[in-house]
Amino acid sequence: MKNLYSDEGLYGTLDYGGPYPIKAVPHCAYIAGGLPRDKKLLVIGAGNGYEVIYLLKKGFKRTYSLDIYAPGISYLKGRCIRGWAQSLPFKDKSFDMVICCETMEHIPEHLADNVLQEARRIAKEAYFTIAGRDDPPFDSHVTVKHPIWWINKFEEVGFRVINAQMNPWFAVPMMKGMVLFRYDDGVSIYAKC
Amino acid sequence: MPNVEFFYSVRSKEITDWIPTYEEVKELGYTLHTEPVECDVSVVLNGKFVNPLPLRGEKILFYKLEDWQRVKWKAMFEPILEEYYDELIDISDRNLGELIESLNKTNR
Repeated sequence: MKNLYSDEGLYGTLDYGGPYPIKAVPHCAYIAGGLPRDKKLLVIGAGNGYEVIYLLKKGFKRTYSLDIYAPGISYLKGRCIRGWAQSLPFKDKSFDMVICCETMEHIPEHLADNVLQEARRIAKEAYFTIAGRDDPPFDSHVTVKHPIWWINKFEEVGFRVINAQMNPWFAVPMMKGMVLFRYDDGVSIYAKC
Repeated sequence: MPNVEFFYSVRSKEITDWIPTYEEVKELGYTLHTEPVECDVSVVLNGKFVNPLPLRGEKILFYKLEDWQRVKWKAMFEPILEEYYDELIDISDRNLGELIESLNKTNR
């Protein structure tokens, strides 16, 4: 079966994987605003790598990523590891924070527990954003659930959910002050592992 | 003369402020592609939804922004997109015909 998330699949098309500005990068900016630069971060489901580039350029030199797709971007050399989120090749608690934006909805429901357990195993904190709608015409959102379903799932696997918001507005520090973004597509969850 | 081709995302049809630009490019005799094609220079119009990785040749992004959007762009998206495109060109105050002519004349 052809892998959707490859050069031959969705990532080989012009319409999938663009830097849609209210998606993952502003979330990274929001998280990064309150984090010391020496934190070791793992972006799970990095796709084309926009978030990783943002975090590296903002001074988070210990940023890495994992995805089943690895873009051929020279800037990301050595930063993108190809692998499966349900079986992370890292030691226990080896990252300060896992960031996983716009990824869980692409993972089949029967693997969601495994992915969350693995994230909890390798990190101390986690920040997830999860879309709550289908994504026509791609139909790549295979697990579309209500935010409450996701919050309960996090608690079930042992996370301590600190903050969860549905369709949140969030303020991001910019050059001339704060700028508001609205994630109008699902839920954001910040949790202790 | 380099072979210059133009690209946009079908999803961006909803962004109506780009429609006059799409029309102007068509009137200049170019085709707007929604799938990758072989060329020397790939120009993306409004890259909000366009995945830059499958594009061929030199990659150029045309963008235009309102003043209030520039802060976001400069701080967040320009440093990222620099890694995907060879050149980012603000077309807000540019004559599109002259700009495209200059792309065609440049030794690329």
